[in-house]
Amino acid sequence: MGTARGNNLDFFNVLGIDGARTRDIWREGIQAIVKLLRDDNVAIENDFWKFSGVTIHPKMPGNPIPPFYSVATGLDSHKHTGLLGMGDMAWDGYFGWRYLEDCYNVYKTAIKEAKPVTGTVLNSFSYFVTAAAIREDRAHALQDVEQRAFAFVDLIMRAYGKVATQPSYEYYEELQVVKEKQRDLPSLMKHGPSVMAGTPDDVCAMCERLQKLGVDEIVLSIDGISHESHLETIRMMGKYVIPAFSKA
Amino acid sequence: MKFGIVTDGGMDGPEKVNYIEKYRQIVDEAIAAEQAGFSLWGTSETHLFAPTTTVSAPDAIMGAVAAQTSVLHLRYMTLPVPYHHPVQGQNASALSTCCRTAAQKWAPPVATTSTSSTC
Repeated sequence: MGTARGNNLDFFNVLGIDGARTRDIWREGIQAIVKLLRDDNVAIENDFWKFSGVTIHPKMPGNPIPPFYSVATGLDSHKHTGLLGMGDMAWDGYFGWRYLEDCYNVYKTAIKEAKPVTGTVLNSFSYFVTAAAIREDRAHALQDVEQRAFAFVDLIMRAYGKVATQPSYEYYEELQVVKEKQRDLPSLMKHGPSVMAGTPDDVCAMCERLQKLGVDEIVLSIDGISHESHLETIRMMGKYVIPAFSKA
Repeated sequence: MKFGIVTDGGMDGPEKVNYIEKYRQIVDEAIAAEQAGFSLWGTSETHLFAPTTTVSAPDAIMGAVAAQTSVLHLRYMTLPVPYHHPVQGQNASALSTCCRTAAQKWAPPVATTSTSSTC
């Protein structure tokens, strides 16, 4: 079960949610969900909900609690995820390899002191690739993925545009690369692993680097290009990349 | 190391399809992912963010994927917890678990746990 605080201000407005309190709502919501999955006649009283005598259905034999993950972006978010003993779903590739390594280390340090929200520590760091395409020739792969990759860069620059002007920001240099190379896909891919595009050898090399970093799971967003492109990337992953890592 | 796929039904690419066709494509791609050897497939709940993401009810698509695959682990990739009352939030968890638990294909943790695994 992957979870998130949500980041859609338009939808917050529709629901009447205070965007400044989403971390608290998220944490208390997960605690309540775990209790509902595990127990009967549940009573909850916190800042957001008050109810009692609730037994949910369906319930599985033994009332199992699924593994809980959290989307994490930003060092503080990775730390918080680790302290709650949840699996980490990291989307921070655009900021570069150094930043991703720092996120990984923050999470792995925090999880050693976890007080698991589910009762069980899930020590897992998943890395999410925002755009992926694999082809026999590199140029074709880059062409396929370009529009989606640049759309994500634009999103990042909209979100972090102000920070990108502050040299005191710890990752200022990383952001400058993104800012200056916004439409230079090979440079962006060298800077960080947010986009995986190229030949099977190119993609294997990037996966190897993530594996050396310690990543437990790579999740590819194969999305937003075309059905044929998605199927071809899936097929190439199955033919060349996944077998190379299943041997290890 | 394991490999997974996430799709959120992006419709802002060069291909122009309607929602019905897009959702059929998503299921077909999940089936292809299983055949290719991916371990994990998932989708996320999003609202008011089309055409970049268009899956507002992951449970429905997860049910379709669960029915047409056999070993692929499914993960509700993102449940935005603040969008739901906890009783509804647990429904998402329990129902997606039901989709898979009968066949013991519920997405497991991919790394070691410090205590016993829950699945």
